[in-house]
Amino acid sequence: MVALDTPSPPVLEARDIEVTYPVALSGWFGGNVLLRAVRGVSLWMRAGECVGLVGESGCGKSSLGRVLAGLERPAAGTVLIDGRPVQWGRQRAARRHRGPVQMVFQNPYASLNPRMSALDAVAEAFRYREGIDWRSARNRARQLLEEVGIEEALARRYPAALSGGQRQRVAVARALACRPRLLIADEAVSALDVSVQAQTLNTLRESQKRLGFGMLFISHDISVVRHLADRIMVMYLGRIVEEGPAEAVLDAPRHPYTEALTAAARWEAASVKGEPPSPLSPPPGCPYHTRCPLARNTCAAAEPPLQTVDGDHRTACPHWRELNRTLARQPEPDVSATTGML
Amino acid sequence: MALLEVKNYAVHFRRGGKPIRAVDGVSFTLERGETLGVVGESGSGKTTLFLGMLGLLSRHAANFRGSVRFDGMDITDPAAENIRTLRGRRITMIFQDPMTALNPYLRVETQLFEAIRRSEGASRMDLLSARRQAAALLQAVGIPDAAQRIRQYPHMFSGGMRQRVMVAMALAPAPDLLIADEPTTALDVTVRAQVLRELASAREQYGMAMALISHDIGMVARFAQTMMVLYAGRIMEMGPVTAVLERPAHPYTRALLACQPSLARRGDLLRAVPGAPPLDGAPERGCAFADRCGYAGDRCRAAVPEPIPARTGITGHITSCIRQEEGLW
Repeated sequence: MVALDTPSPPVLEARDIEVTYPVALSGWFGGNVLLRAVRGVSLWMRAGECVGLVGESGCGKSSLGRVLAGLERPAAGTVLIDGRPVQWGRQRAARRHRGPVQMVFQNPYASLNPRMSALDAVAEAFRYREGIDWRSARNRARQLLEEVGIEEALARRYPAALSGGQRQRVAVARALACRPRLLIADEAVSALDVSVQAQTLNTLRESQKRLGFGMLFISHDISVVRHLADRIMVMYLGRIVEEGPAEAVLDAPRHPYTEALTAAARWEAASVKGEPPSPLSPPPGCPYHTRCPLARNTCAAAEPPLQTVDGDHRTACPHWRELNRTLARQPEPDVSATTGML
Repeated sequence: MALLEVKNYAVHFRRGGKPIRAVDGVSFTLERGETLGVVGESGSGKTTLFLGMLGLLSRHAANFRGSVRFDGMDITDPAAENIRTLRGRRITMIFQDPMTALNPYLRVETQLFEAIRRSEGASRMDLLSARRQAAALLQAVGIPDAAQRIRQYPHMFSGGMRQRVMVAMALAPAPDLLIADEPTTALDVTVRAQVLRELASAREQYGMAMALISHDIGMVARFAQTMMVLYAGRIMEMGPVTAVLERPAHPYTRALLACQPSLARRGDLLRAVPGAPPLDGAPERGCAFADRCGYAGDRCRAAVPEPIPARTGITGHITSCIRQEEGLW
């Protein structure tokens, strides 16, 4: 974590990313339509910074993460990692460039090779990145696993003999073995029980402190994101609707959708109506206007661009000034506050 | 008389020679109009407890012990006739996954009719009034254009709408007890609160009792009056929601609260609990949480702790920690 006012060159600069998928319509003559999963998203990140990307299922947050990791080719846009453009594709050269970007996925049961011990899974990453022999790779792996809380006896186990939390920490260690400049954690703790989720969150946070990589933390759960992120970006139907410093975005949301997400996290009566529309046929104009309490005719007419609220804080809602007046804010009955006495 | 009275209930699965104590020595009562929140991590036995009581677990796979009384009737034996007459009428259940709980081949109205006809005196209701009632039910749980939509099939409904259909079906027979097992986990965050609100207002309107099973403490804090904390099949702590949250009397509850990420807190490190919940149920001897507990001593591992009144002295607040009086935390 670095303070935002210390300028360091960005590890990540992504401009105008577009991701589309052809979707077959039903019937013989249905043909294809284009699903626009990510629509003109730009983001940047400094070394040591953690950006949280929040949104509901289908909003395009994972597609964006996969593009940044080089796993998917965007329809348009550029991505620079440490100033160098990312190449998409299967060629050896393209793959080599991807080392600096590592990813931790949601399901730790599917992301580890069941026939490889935890130690070997991490050692393999060292061998691949640094071309060293198994012996020294295993030594390095042992040390790294220790640092994420997997001791030697556990490290020799196969994934089937590890718990979900342990597997996820192995997955983190394997990503760290590649000395990433950017780590993308896509719902990395969503499949874990709370008592175990905290272990993985702490591991991510401590490793980032120690190694200083940039982190994109993708999640649908805004309270988990808050725990790690310096900056937060809120995504809805392929668009960024609000971005800014974590405190500003969560304590004083400037977009009705962010407001709805924070209310939902507190189980409060949300201002949001209905359910997210299908990304196959997003509503015209502002994508949120069909569910928005502030919506008026002009909202459906044209898609509002991001506008600056204050410093780095931007919102796509032109009516954000009315937010505080419309939605009375209630304090959260905080279940964790009691534990301050511990 | 309490609506539901459970005493020393246990479900032990048979696997090889070693029983898996999925639920062990659980006792509680549930009054009419009360909402009981059942909190626990995966594998804590929160679902098994209720599936067992409803007779939805195979007798060949598990041994059941203890006693369950519903409205004075003994329903302990899952094979007994009376549990079958209660299920779907006086006790209904909402399952976690709305994608698999509805029959994809039947129109939503057909599935709703089934639920409506099960309620007393409605078994020979004519199609027109059944249809009218079905539409009214869907309307009540927040489905717009209900009269048209009941003619559709489940795949034409979104996840949130399907879960609302499940809620409507569970409410249709006007049950005395509704068991909601993680009713919102499969839904988008902005839709979760909406569905729960429908459920809560329906509960209020019908005055039924509800068991709300969830891993989400925040949700239980909002919607339940009583809270049961399960770990490895045993009750660690139980009591009024505010008592359990504000003055937890068991190290596990405290740990669970401490590792909860929260909007109000952008702390440093979360207080993680080392280790993971046991996979094979409660241990034969000793406290189930002892292996992960920072306060555990020899006494904790010696015998299964009996629930005792919590030191808060609040009525109904119990803990199964034998060291609560020692002032360790």
